[in-house]
Amino acid sequence: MIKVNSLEKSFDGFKALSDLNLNVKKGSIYGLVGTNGAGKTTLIKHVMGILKPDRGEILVEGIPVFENIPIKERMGYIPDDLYFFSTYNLKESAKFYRSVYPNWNQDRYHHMVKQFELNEKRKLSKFSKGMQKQAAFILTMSCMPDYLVLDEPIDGLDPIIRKLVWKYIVEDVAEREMTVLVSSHNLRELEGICDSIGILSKGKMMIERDLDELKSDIHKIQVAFKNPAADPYQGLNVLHRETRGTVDLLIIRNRKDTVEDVINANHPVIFDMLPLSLEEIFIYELGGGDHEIESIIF
Amino acid sequence: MSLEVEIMKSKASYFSISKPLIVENLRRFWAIPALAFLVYFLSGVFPILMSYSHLNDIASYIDLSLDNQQPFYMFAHLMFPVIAAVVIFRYLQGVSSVSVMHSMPFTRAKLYNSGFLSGLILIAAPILANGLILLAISKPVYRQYGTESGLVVEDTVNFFARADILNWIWVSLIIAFVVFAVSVFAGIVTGNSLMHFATAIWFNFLIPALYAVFVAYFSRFLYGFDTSGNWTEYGMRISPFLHVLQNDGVFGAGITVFYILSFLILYGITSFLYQKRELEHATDSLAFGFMEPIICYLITFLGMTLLGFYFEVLGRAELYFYGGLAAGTLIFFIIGQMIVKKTPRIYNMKSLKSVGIYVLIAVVFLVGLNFDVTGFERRVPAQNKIDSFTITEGFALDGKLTGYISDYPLNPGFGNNVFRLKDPDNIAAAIRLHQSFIENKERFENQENIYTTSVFLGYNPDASFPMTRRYQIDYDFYRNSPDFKQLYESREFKEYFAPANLDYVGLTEIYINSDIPNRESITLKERAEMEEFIACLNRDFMEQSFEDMVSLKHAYATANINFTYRDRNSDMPGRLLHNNATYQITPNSGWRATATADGSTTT
Amino acid sequence: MFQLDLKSRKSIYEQIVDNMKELIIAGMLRAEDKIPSVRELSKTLTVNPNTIQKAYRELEYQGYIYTVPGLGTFVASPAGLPVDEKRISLVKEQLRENIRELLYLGCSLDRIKTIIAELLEERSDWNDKGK
Repeated sequence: MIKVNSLEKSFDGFKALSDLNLNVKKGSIYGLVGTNGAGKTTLIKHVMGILKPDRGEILVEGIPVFENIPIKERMGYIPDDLYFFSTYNLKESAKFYRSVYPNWNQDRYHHMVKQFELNEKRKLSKFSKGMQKQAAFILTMSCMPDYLVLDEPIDGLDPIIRKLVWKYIVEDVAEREMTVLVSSHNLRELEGICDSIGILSKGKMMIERDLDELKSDIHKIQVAFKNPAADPYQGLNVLHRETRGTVDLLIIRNRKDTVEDVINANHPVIFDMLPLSLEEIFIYELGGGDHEIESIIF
Repeated sequence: MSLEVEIMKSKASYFSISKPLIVENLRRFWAIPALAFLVYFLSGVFPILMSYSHLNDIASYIDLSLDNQQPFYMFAHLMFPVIAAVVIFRYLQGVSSVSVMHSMPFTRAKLYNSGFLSGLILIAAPILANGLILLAISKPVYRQYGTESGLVVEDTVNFFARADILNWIWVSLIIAFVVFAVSVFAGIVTGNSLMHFATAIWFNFLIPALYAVFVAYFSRFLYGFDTSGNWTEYGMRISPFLHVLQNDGVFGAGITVFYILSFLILYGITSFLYQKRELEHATDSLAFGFMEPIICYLITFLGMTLLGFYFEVLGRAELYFYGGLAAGTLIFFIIGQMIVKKTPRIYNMKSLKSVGIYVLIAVVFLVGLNFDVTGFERRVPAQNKIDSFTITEGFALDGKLTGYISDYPLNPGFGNNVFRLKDPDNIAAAIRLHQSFIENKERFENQENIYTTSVFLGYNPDASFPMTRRYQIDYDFYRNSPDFKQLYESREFKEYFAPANLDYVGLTEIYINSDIPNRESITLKERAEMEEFIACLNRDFMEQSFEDMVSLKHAYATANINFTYRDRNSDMPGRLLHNNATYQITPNSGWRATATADGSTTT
Repeated sequence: MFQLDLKSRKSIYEQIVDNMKELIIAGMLRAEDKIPSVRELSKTLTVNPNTIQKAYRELEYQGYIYTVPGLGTFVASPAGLPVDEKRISLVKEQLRENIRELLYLGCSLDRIKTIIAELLEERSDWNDKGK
């Protein structure tokens, strides 16, 4: 598992991360989301032992990750800005990775090259961006990592390839309990894959929850009462309320049954309760208070 | 199983390398040794192969090449190590590359050592390869001269000996390795490849350049400062690259140790800095904050000096100099800050503070120079500290009286010693003379008399750092100086230059000619006659007064003495060399002697 | 086995639980039938195994399936099902909704009773099969 405690990092006076805590359980797929410039890439670079924190610690399986060769041999990293040795093709790169990562699986490598239909002998610099991502994915997965860290991995991949990528990842998580930390803007896709979510904003971890718990805790409801009581929402944590005609639109942060109990007690004529999508939770948590944002939600 | 090789099995092993990394570096960058090999080969081996049957024709070229004075070799020794360093550590200078490389299971020590070792291999290989080829094809090569009697081969010195080639390999490796170590250091403290390249080149010449700059300031401000001599030589020798440009391609033991130590120290400091480097500075100009003022101030200092001296040359006045310094400071500080911060927006409080500190330092420096805070100008050595001294000037001691400069093969007087005076009375006179120069500073600095000469005074000239001074004096002062008189009339001085002490083996002929037209010339061929003539000459010389010696009287005759001698200081001391000394005879029992040396050899 | 609707508001976890329950309730999966393991199902559906694990736990908690270590996961017989009053009241609420809608559509109370009787008739064999 990956644990980050009270991480602080500044660049030239700009505070990129402050008092940041992160907890990725073993075998889980953790989605790191945040606005642009929130610090996702900076955080990920700390997790991979590339950057050194000003304060705080980054532990993988309880041991600090910096210069930790044994754990790094079992970690795979795909940055959003790819890098390959300039003149190399996939075959040569594979040879290099093979000599560096002890768990390299040559069979899997061949299998994946065939499946993704990439030309091993072609210079990687000549590949399109998407194919480069696929190549990077093949190289990283063939190392059989126990920890997979991905920074915007599915940007630029077509839907078929995307499905293939997730399939491999899910397989490894299922088979080998691989732990995955993935940062992305594509919340819909993350929603379908991640079991935990961390929402980063301005260098701080706003929310870190199990995804289902996160979703079960916040609801969007449409209610209309025939005879409304004075305060039909008493006892509920109403985050937002809007009235359109006779219908109330609310965002409530409570458990589902609590909400149901309270609303039903007043016998509503209309009562629709919808879970918020991850995207909506994201927008609401990070952009709340803005009228435009609200209209997106509703 | 991982292919890593650990040399020291400790947790924080500083010397570990990664074989896969080295292999990859060699694979990726093989073009560098290939290109270097071609340059060395085409400029070194190829000409030899082309002239292989008549190598004596290019004997001097071979000599030049093996002494590393040949331009292609010098180019290669500088450029290929720099390029290797830039290319190998390029990954540090890009955001994505540095992230990927440091996410891999390598310690920083491994990354650094592997890169360093790869570089050494890449630059050593072509040198060694060419050296081996040269060894394989080496055969004796001698200088040859065309004379009236035909081609003469001087087969005493083989310019293509195995020893010379091995020396070339050794010296070239030292140069290349030191340049590489400096370039790697430059790479670790800079943040992008352009800065890396520029700084690598710059740092290799930095210390000698700074040295030269300081010498320029000292000679401008300090009355009596002498720019020749050991200080300058040693300054240039800090860089092995510049060292070979100066001398004959061989490094002494001491300087070799210095280079090896420099190499190791650079390696160590850079290793330490690599551990500390914050990788987020990739693409910035500099990777370490402390380097910013250093680089900026260096740029400002060099630029300030440039403009100051340039303006002065244009305007020929103090004001121009200081104006140039000020202008240079402003312009080059701005440039320096922009380079270092990598932005044109440097107009803020931080920059102001920085330039303020610089100006403070500069002012202290200039004031110190102006007011001679170290007492340089006034310093005169204590008598008991001086064992010997040497003096040269251009009135009488530059050919008119003696013509004997120490490294000319003609050295009458005390065997083959160079000109040193040891008599305590003379030493006292020299110190008084020195004092008189100091007291007449006003006179000499605002010279209107155009008949002047440069006087060089060197105390304890054989020490590693002798005290030397140089002053421009005028003839009037010279002629009326009691100290000069004492020196030149002293027994030690006369004995040194007496014609009787001309160290000859055989006398060939003496040819006496007159400058007055229509006078006869006399040639003496009898040994007895010649020796008598020399004895007369000698007596006159020993009795001659100082005033007479330095008078501007014109000679009415010249005597040209042809003789043979042996040069004990040469590598062939038994060899008989020809030479001739010319003495001018002036009325009133005075004469002046000039020696012209044109050596020729016979077996 | 079943399709997931990724665009649905329902979380994947809920969908798995519901879909599995439907299959069992509909009789497509009968008691003692082996269902795919967490690993297998996650690979088939390309779904986070933790999610499947949670779904299976919920199904097990509700009594629909049971796991034998080393052998696999099987459908439980409905007899062992604890009576889930909460669930029943939820379904009752759904029925109330459906009935209200039928009334709104113009069905008479009698017609509604007939419809319900028909539906129950369809399921009459269910009690036999389940045993």
